[in-house]
Amino acid sequence: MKTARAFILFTLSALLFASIWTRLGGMWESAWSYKLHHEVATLLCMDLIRPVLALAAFAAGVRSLGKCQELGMEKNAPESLIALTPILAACALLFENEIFFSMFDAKGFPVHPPEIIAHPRGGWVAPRAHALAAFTLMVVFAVAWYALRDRKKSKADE
Amino acid sequence: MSNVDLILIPAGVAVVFIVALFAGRVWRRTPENAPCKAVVRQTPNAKWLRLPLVFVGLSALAAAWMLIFVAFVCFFYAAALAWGEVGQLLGVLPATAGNILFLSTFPAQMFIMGLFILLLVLGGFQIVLGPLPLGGFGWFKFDGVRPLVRRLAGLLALVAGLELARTVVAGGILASEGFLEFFARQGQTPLADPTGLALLAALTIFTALIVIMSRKDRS
Repeated sequence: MKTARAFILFTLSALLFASIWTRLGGMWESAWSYKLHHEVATLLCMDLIRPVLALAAFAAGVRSLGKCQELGMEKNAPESLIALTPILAACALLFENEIFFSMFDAKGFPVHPPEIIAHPRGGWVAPRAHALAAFTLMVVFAVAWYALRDRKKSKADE
Repeated sequence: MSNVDLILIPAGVAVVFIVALFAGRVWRRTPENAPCKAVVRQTPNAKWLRLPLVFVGLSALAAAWMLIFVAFVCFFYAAALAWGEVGQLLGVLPATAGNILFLSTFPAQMFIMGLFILLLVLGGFQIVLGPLPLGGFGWFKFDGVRPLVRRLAGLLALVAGLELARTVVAGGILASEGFLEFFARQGQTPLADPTGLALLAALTIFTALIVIMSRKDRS
């Protein structure tokens, strides 16, 4: 049973790794199209979920065999990796709003502000709402960064 | 040199990078406790697992090439933006510290995303195949999944922080110029949109729960 479970998880991991190649066309198109190139950040974040999940599936496969320590994998490795996926998805949601751009063109006229706050799919985005979303995400990531620190470096007094 | 020729540069860099990664990491030099080796040697009925493991190795190699390629595209994009957005615009706008910082945020975000991808590849490689002899590049050295995830979350926190800083500045300028109303379209905002708000809240809660689970498991 353990071997069968690991077999399925390893296969899933391989499929997830391979699936990133199916996204190459969209990323290429985004990168080279002047109209679409701003959206590459959104694609980037959504596509990075695949290799992260693939690593998580691999870690879960190793864990399903039992004896994590002997097999060189931390027990909570899949959860740690899966924690990254909502972060990346939220980043994609944030970047969907086209903030990834600067303000003024070479003529000095602020043509970019509508691009900052408007997106064909995202619609109008008030800077206040976007700032709140960015702040929420920053706090979540910072908390994750702090919570996952190495306990060995913060020993209590003996 | 056309754009298509330029794309060959990150593609070539990715090939060199992959070769360099594997040059010092052949099977016999992989530590015995590395998952790829330990799973095969220490698991009963391991012969059934060799097929998916080989498949994982090949597809991970292909994915690594593409990810490194994308990482270097990000680096080049950051450099191009630094030249195009910052360099050219500062010929028009006054080169004050505020302008330079504001215009540098997007190149910085793209550079951080490139770094994120590079860390993901190097970290994943070391988790599966064991540590790399990185010498002075200790920042890229990982002995487990948690330090990798922590560093990646930290980089994304930086990206979101830059996003926040720029939005606050841009929002302030737009508000003082009276552009908020000018560009408003039917008052739709992602946070006023129930789906967007629900998604953001769900993602936040989900992340928090997973981090809590991870901490509980460790203690």
